[in-house]
Amino acid sequence: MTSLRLVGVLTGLGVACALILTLVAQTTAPRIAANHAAYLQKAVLQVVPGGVTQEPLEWEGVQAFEVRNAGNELQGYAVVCETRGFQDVIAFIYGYDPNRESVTGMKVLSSRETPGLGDKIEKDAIFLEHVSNIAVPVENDALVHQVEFVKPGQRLHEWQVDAISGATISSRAVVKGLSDSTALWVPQLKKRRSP
Amino acid sequence: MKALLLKGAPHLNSERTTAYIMWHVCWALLPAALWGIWSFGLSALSVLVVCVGAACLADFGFTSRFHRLGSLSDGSAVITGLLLGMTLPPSVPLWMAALGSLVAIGLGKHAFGGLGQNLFNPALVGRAFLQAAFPAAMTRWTPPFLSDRFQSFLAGSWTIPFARPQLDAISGATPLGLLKFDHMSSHISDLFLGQTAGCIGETASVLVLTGGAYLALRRMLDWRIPIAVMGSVFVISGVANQLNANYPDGLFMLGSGGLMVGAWFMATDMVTSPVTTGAIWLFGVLIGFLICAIRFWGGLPEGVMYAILIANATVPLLERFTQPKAFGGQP
Amino acid sequence: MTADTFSKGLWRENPVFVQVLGMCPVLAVTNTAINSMAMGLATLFVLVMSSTLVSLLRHLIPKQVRIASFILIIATFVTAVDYVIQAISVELHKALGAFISLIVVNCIILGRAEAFASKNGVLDAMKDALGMGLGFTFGLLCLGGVRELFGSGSLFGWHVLGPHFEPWVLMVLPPGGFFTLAGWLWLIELRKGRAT
Repeated sequence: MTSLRLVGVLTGLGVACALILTLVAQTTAPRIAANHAAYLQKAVLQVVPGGVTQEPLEWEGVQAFEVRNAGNELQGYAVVCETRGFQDVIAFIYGYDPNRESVTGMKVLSSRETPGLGDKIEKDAIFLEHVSNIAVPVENDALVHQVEFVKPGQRLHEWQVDAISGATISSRAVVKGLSDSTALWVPQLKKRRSP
Repeated sequence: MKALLLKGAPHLNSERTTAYIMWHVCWALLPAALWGIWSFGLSALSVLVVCVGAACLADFGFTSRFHRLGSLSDGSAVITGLLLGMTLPPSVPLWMAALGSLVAIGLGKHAFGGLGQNLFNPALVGRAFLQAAFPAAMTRWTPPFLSDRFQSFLAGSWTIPFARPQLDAISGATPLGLLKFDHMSSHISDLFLGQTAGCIGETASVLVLTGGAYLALRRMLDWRIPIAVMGSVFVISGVANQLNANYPDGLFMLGSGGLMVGAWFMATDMVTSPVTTGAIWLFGVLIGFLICAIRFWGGLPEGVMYAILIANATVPLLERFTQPKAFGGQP
Repeated sequence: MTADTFSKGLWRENPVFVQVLGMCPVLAVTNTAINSMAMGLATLFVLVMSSTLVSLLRHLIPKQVRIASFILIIATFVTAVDYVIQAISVELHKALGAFISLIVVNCIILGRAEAFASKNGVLDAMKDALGMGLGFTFGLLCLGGVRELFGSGSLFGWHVLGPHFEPWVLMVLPPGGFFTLAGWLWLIELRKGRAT
């Protein structure tokens, strides 16, 4: 009889917890979705300096936005990118300016990197400065240089990004994501600009 | 009144006391240290003085506060300070040198119970601490034989404690750094005769070798350890060099960086090296392998420090595997 | 039960310095004072709520399945908090999110549920959890303050040591956590006259 009671209590507790969680998830889901959408919109304008309005591009396989400035001229593009971090997938967005041919900014949308170590990718001043100015010139529908990841303090060219000491894995993940995504999408964005 | 001295057996008397051997090690280190002072000047001298002074002061403080065995006269603190100073770059701020000595004695030696109790080589603990805490200052090198080296100090030396050191106008690179980052080799004779940039006491490999060989001949260090370290490094890098010319050859590996100081004076530390014959050989080969692995594939150009620290940690395990059979015991 | 129910967690049975429990967050997130504060307060909150719930349900749960049940309660609570914070603000969740998922595995919470809340009334359980949570926050702040001061030259983000301070990189890296914890433990034992 006792073992039945054990099973009963655990099952009951499990069902109760599942119910509570479902309830919480259901009630908060619309708010969370709205919050994330608002956050994404804000992020798009942050990574493309000078941007005022935005419009999603209807492209397959990527979430990208076209950003226009106050005079309704094209200011740049914002591309969402996901990469495998230290703990979990890091989602971030970066801006691309086809006139300057450079990456103009990066903002982390979601990450579970270790506080104080991996989360330096959102705070480290040098890293953020580097990713706000990466040269990605295009020639013959391909990048001239892949974005490269180098040791702290060894950035020589504008297509390189310094690692963050204490957050090597996380910063490498972001740069790897940037490198792959820019190699794939920047030539296409550039072509879209000057057909 | 003299205190009554009570001791357990064996009641053997020997001239070979701890102090006797320690002071001999100091004398054996002196030629290389003097060469460092000659080639890097006043700054190198002050780093060595500060390291030894701070180590003695710290040791005196800890010994008297915690009523530990041993005293300054046994020379162990002097060796720790001297070895630490010899493995620092000449331009390192003196306050960092003093802090390194304090960490070496406090964390490396007394945290484990004092003289003879430590698991890791104290001087290397101090150096590892400095390397991790101040990576920039610890990898800034000065070329040897600057013309005004005996008239003025290097810019970094007299930095105010806890402040960021000033940069020197002239900087050099170590042979290992040149090889790793610029793919430039150095002359073997320069390496052995101390004509390169590097840590204060490690540039003149020949002098280190001579001091070490003297101690080995006097049976004050175990010759098997440096032979195993040098032999394994020579063989591994020789094979690697034959397979791929990008890897440095054996002689370059032996003459560059802190290999000689490490092999002869740090790995052979009586407290932190194994005692059984099999373990001694394994210990030496392990250090040699780790040095090659770190120098070839690691992010840093030099790996002697970490190789010895890691090998120190394996000593109890190595000794357990190589226990000799007791006489008459079960096979 | 006396006033001691609350106050013992602050010092005499401090979770960090005396029980040495919950070392994962203690070592991992204490490299700045702000991080320590956030982690401490988040843990305090979850600790109080889960202790209360465990104490309320203590007659219902058979002792053979108590650990599983406690973990279920704690995990449910943490997950719910995670959702609610996301619904309030994404920015807030980005600042606290990583801490919140770490709290589930903090053994101080299960420890108090097992050792105290499951054997005592609701009010006492809350008092105990409050004291332990505050003691835990205090312990984290002791570590985070020292590590931020040496590792970045600042305290709560303010640069108190001036622009010329050379930061000790080691202190914000994991070994710095071990060294600082060892240093505090040594100082405390020294004061108690137990260490030599």
